[in-house]
Amino acid sequence: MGEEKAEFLKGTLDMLILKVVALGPIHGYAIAQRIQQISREFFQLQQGSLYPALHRLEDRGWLQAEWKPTDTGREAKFYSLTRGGRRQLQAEVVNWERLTEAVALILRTAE
Amino acid sequence: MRWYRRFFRRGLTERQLDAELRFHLEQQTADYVAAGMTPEEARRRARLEFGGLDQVKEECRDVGAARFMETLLQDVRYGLRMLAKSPGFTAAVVITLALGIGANTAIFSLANALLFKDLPVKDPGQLVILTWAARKQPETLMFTGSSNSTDPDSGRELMNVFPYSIFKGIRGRTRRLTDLFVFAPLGRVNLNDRGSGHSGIAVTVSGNYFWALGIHAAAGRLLLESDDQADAPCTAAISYRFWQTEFEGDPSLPGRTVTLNATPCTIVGVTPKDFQGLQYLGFISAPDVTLPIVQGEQIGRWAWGGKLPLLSADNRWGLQIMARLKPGASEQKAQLETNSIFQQMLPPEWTSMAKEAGLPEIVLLPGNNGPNFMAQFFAKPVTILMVVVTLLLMIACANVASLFLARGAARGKEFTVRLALGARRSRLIRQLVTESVLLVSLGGAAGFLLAWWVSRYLLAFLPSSSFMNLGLNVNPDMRVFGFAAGISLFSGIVFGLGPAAQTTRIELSAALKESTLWSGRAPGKSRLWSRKLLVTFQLAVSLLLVVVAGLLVRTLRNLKSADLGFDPRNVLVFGLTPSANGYTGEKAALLYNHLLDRLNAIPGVVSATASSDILISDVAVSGWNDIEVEGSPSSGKRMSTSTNYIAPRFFETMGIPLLAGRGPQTGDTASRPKVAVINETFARKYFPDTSPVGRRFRWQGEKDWIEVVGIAGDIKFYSVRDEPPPITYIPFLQSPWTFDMTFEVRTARSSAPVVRGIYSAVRALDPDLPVVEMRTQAEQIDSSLSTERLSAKLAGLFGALGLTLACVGLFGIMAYNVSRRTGEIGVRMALGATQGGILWLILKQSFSLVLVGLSAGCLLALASTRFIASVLYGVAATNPVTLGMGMLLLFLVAMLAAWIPARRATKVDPMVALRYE
Repeated sequence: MGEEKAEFLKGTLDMLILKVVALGPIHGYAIAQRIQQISREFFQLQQGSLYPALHRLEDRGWLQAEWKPTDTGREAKFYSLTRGGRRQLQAEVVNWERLTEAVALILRTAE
Repeated sequence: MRWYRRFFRRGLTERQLDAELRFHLEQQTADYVAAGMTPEEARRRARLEFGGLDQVKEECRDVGAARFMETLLQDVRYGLRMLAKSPGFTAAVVITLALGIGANTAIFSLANALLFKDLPVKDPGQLVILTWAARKQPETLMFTGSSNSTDPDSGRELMNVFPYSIFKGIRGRTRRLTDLFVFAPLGRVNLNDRGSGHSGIAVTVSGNYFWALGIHAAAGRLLLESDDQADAPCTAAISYRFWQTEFEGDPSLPGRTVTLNATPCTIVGVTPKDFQGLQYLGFISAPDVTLPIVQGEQIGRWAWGGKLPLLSADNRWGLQIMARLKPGASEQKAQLETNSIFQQMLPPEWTSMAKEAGLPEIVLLPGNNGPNFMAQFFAKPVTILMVVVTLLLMIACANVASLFLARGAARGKEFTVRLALGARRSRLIRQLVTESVLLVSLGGAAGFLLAWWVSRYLLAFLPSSSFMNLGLNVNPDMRVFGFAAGISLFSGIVFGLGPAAQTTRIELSAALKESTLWSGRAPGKSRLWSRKLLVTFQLAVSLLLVVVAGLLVRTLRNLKSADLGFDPRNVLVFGLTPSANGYTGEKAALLYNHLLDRLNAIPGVVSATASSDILISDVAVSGWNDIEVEGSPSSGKRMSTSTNYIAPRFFETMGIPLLAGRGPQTGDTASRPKVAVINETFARKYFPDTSPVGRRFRWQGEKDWIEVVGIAGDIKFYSVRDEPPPITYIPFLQSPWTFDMTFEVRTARSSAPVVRGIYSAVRALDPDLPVVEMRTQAEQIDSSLSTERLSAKLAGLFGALGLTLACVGLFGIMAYNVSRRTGEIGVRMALGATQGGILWLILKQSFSLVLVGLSAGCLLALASTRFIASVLYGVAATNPVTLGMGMLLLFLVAMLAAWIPARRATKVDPMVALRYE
């Protein structure tokens, strides 16, 4: 495991998934690819662990799923954001920003 | 609930999950192949990066369940926190529920032990009892020890005794039944061990009995097939209770040879503690001694000294048959098969009657709780108690519901805030239901423990004489536990859901604006309405409980103070069973006469006598017999009388007045002219016109006339309830057979030295003769009233509990009402209302509530008490005094409960009240 690659913080995976799905209906494989690409392979994502998270978010009512053909014509399960999911994403982003701000503040001033 | 749906649509979601994950892996593989890997390597890489496929699937499947558990845990945690925050409320609810559920569970565990509990044997569910249904039985056959009941399907009489030959026939030919065994009661046996006599109740069984039941010895061994052979030495097993009470659990007893009915016999072992026999003969006695059936035939003696030829005589039907259904055999087919074997084996007496009455038919009854004749004895009182405790539970539930409503009111703001913050109503209801389930679990658990603790004391109410030697096991089993859990759940739903629905039906704006000062149209109004209804209901039901308790208590009092016609004080009663030791005829008469002489000579004895029938024993030993009166034309009307064979000084000893003529004398022996004393009822019924003294009558079918020499006062004979029957007293030496007599000894004052004197007098005459059941006549009567006493005490207890709970409910609503109206009261007082006026203002409300509740209760009581009319004595079910007293009691207690909060209302300080807002 490369030393610059971080494990996911607890809860951040959910936020990242919501963020990725917010861009439009997308299937699980593409979500995994997208997260790794965008983070420039920074996050070490054990791909399998994506699916329980997807199912959990669906179960909470933040994601909804639909079986549709992909570009290649294969059937795949596409996830999209519900209204509740959009609210949740906003709340989590706000929380995250507050957290990082607070951490940054401490790091800056505690010197 | 998603998780729930998932459960049912498992197949579908499973396929979708597979497809989704496969898609991912194939896409990844394809991408790697496109990047230049070999398909083999690409697939391997994809799998590696994906991680454990099965683990991922498992986690996906668990998502719903996990969320369910998570919210449940959240609810439980939150619920516990809320309950801990209001310990008063929690304690009130838990205690109320514990009382209601505990009372129900305790009574149910009693009902369970009496009516439902399986026999403590291997696979009781396989057991069946063989009975037969017939319209009529041939008169040449003798049926012994059958407990007759009515076949619910055909209305024919069901009997459960067979001759040995038919048992052998069925056992040899059946293919659907297995382990057929027989047993028959043997009455009392005398057991002499190293010089001390013990009297025990015996049962004879076929050699395979214990093996078929799958029972193992508590000590030594139990009877085997080899013990039941014609040439086998005498062997017997004794019960655990008998071993403990009579032999202090002597470990050397198993294997020892004792004398059983004056015959050497080896005690081979002890039956297990919880095995009380199969409850035979309608007498509810657990057998103390179990003998192989061959030995029963050899050494068994019936109370009149006769042998019981159960094995050899085909015209004597006296064996009860039980069996196991073979695994997989249907009860119906087994019944058909057994019936055809049975009908082929019937003796000619039956076949000649077949045209008019048809052949008897086998009916198989479930045998899982034995031939349960306790049911007949106890079904009614137990049912009444079950209804009573159910009513109690309803009152308790109403209380808890009322508490919940009050709390709902108090939490209105909390819920309003949560609803306003976007919580779903279903989530709030779930929260409330979780809280009630928590409370109910606590209450139910407490109630179950309470019942466990109480049920041991319930037994203390039950009679313990050996006639009613119940050997009950009231320890809660799974069925009792299930019952407690069931009613807890039921009550949780009843009081939890309704208030929950109401509490969450909140109009946001109205509730947030709610002011406690002018709450005219606030949602508290409808909640108050529900609570008022609940209180009315509680008062009505508790009135019913109080009235039922009152009726049962009066019944018991009436029975206790009933005029018996004799004087039961200072009379000792005990039995002897010489017939079991072979005393008959002349020899027995000599024994009795010697003993009576010795008894009368004991210092402190006023007089001593003997009789075949004990007074107030619920059993007719000598039975009812038909008579014909000399000189009176047989009008076709049947004349019958109960009989008691008595020794001289009987009337004197029992304190029965002799109204005319003389009593039995020592000279009334078998060789002298036959005489009788009759009671008033006999005289009135069968000698309506003339003085009976000097007139003669005889038993139906016999030729000797019996002269009436005296008339005795009427007495209660078999039970306190029954009116005095016609009684014929015959001098015991003139009885056609020798009875095992009961002795009655009137003492001057203290009976203790007399008791010792009696024991030594009996021992001096025959050390092999045990004294049976030494007691006082008063104890005898008391034990015959034990069911009534149990019902009265329990109903009284439950009535008081119900009343208390209802009053707590009333108190609660009144206190709530006062606190709700504090502002209003303050204003009124500021405007000059007097304390008396305020008091009346509050009391007026409860006054009308109580009146409505009591009127409803009065109607309820009038409509329903007639269902217990058959267990009442000396008081009508609609007895106005009991009803009136009950209403007065309830009224007073209820007004007291209302008075306390009303008093508090008058103490309201207007300034404080107005500032309270």
